[in-house]
Amino acid sequence: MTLDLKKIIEQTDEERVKQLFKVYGQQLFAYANSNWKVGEDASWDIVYKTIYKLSKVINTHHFEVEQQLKSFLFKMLINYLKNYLRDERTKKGGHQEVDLNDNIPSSAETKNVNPAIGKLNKALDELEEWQRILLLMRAQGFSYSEIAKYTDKPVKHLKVYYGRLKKQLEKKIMLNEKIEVHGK
Amino acid sequence: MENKAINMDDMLREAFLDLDFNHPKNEQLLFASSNALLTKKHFIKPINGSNLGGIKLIVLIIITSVFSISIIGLNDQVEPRYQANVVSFEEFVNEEEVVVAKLPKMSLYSFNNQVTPLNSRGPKKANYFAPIIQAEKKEELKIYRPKELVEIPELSPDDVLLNEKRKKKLIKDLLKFEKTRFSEINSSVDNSEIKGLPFFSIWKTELSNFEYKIFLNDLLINQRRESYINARTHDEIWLELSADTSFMKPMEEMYSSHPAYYEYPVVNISREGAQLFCDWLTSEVNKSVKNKEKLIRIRIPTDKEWEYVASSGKKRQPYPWGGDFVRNSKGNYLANFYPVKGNYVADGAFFTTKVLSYFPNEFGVYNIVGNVAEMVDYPHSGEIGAKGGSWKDSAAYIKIYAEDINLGISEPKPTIGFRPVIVYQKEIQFNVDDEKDEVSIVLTEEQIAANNKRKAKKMSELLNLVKHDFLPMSMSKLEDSEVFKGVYIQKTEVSNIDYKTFLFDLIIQKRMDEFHIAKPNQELWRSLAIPNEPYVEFYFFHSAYDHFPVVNITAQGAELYGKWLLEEAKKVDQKNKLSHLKRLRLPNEVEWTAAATALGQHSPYPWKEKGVRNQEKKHRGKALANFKTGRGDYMGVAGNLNDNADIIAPIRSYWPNNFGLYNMAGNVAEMIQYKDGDYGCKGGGWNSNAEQIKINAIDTTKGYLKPGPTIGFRLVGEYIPESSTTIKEK
Repeated sequence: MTLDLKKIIEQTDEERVKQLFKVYGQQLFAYANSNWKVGEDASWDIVYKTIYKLSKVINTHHFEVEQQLKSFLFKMLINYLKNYLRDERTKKGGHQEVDLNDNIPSSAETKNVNPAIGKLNKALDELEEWQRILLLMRAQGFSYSEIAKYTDKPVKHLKVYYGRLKKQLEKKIMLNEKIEVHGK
Repeated sequence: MENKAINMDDMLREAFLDLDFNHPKNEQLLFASSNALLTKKHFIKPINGSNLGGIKLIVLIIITSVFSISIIGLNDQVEPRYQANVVSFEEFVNEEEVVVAKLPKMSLYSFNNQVTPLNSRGPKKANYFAPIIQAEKKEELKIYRPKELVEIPELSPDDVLLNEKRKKKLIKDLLKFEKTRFSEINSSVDNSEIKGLPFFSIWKTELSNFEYKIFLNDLLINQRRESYINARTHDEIWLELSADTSFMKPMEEMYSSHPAYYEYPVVNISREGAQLFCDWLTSEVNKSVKNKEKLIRIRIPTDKEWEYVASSGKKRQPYPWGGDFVRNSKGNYLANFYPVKGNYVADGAFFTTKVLSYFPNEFGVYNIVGNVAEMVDYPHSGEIGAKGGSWKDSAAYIKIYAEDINLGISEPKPTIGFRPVIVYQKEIQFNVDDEKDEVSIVLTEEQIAANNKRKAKKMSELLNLVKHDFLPMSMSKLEDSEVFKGVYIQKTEVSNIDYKTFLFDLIIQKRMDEFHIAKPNQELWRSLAIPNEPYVEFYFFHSAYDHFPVVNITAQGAELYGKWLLEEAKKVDQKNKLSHLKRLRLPNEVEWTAAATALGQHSPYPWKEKGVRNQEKKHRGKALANFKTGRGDYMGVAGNLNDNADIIAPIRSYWPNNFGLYNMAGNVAEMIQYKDGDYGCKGGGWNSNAEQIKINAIDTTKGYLKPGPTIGFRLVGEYIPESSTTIKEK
């Protein structure tokens, strides 16, 4: 199914939501549910939120192609997911103890809850673009044949690259750690 | 670090969340992942749980409601747990998108109580088969659906893809002549020049349902509906076998479609369907053949070919496995037929059985008799039939040379299948109508160009007479060599390819009267008592036989060839090299014997040995010519081949005589013209014995020469003798 952008912008809010849900709802739900292991109810909630948000905001933005709308929608979904997962984590871990003497943590620091991921992000930045696409998309369950469309590499090569790149990443992270230690 | 290695996937997944998608470096990633997610449906592998939340809900509701009804009764107070979700589900999901899982068609048929299981040895057996025997008598039961009512199935895109895949595999196997599927039948010739070119290959098994289904589906894909209706399997005919229709119902429904029957032979197809299959497969395969000489043709075998395969090389045996019995030493039946009265199952199969059952014969061919009868053509009488007997025939009817009980039947039957053969296509086919005096073939432009090229080459060779084909007779150290001054003789017999250029050139020049005299009558191959059907098609026309001597031609044809050769050569001759060449003709007796004896040695044969074997140290014991060693022994046995040629050998085989001439004795007899004008032949052919190939053997054909598959010719060139003065000057 495809969308007529003109139609959607002219429609009323209810019609627009229904239309958007028909086209994108199932995929978004599947993504949240199966890939991020979010429960069914919660993932439906997230999907509704994103779609309602989009229908409200759609007139303020300017979309020329459907692809722009897609990436916008996806970005919003990820934001909602991020919020949801963060809330979950805090629920499980209970309240964090914070020293009142210290400064209030800035937004950049709250971003990396897990320090290992920060290192990984650093290592990722050194890679080429297609390598990052391969690693990050594959980790989310996209098929190799799907990824091959965006990387200009044959499918069989990608399978090999994926294994090698992971090993490379590990080595890089190790190196970075050593550098930090010696630097001090 | 070990933990990191294990969790790298998870960490990468989480790192995805922390990316800043507003940054331009992540633009491509955002584009890729959003596009991949939102264009394709259900792409993600479920990690835990399933995507089918909705269906799960429905099932749960049903279970809970049934549970509530059965245990608590119709109690309104019990609230379904998932009510809230159901509302949201119905709101947003369109009805069309709800997937209804299609269960495969399953129907369980149980046999009647009368029936005993296959392995038991109880006394009840007869009732099992009663309905079948009744059905043979009643003709009213026949159900033929008119063509209009045929259901044409529709294929899903997945089926189309799968079928293309299977078709590719089949064609790939065919091009390779995959040995697991096809067996090559080299009926006679085992010569280095035509190695790798079998006369025909045959399917090792009967054609299976699986292979036939590829064909039917391909017809549907290409929307050839009419040919589909002609080629379809008439499954309803199974019902005719039994008075009780429910008894044969499963066979009707399943036999041609269910995967369990894929390896069973295809039955209930009309003759037209089988021929359509052959035509379809030939056209499909030849699309991917690049070399034109290797174009193949797939067809229904002739009766002679079928018999040759079944008897594994014309052996005298009633059954393909040899011997007079239908069971081996362990007591097992060797084919699927009707072994004992009232008991179809004694051989382990009720109706048809899998195509790879029982033991293959010596050619590696399975089920050549029994199982299903196989369609054959009778090219002599123009009739059609099916040989080999089927699961319904008793032991007498599955003999190889048994009477064909399916003669003239072209309708679909549950006992008739087929097994195609593969042959190479010949280059050109002659269809000459003697009444109309016309040649129905038209040479293509490529063939004309090729022929002209060949002709030009031949002419240039002829201009240098001495170097190539011809030898001056005076070179031989004969006592009175002056007699032969100016006489040249051809080194070899005239080959098929040379004669073919001549014939084609006649067609191109439209000299039809001469063409009808000169054309070889290949049907004369049938006059011999050998498996010779392939030679009729191939011997003259196929390029593998290019360098074999031409046979089956008249003496007039041979003379015409000489005349044509000289005419055409003189057209090209610019330096007047051939001005002295008077004519090219058949040799006379004196010339031929002189050429054969060469040195004038005292030997009955063209060579110096007094026997027929080579006595030189290097080649000791090898045959010196192509002839018949003993009664029925044309080439010796494998491992000890006498002359290595059962029929004709290539023109340059064996050792030349001392004069440099090949095959003066044996191979094909050579036409000569006696001084009183009669034609005869000398030298003996491939079916003459050692006495008949002697130089001085009596020519019994003098005055009665007829064209035949043992008679060819070689030419003699006659120069106007040069004056004695010119010789002295030289």
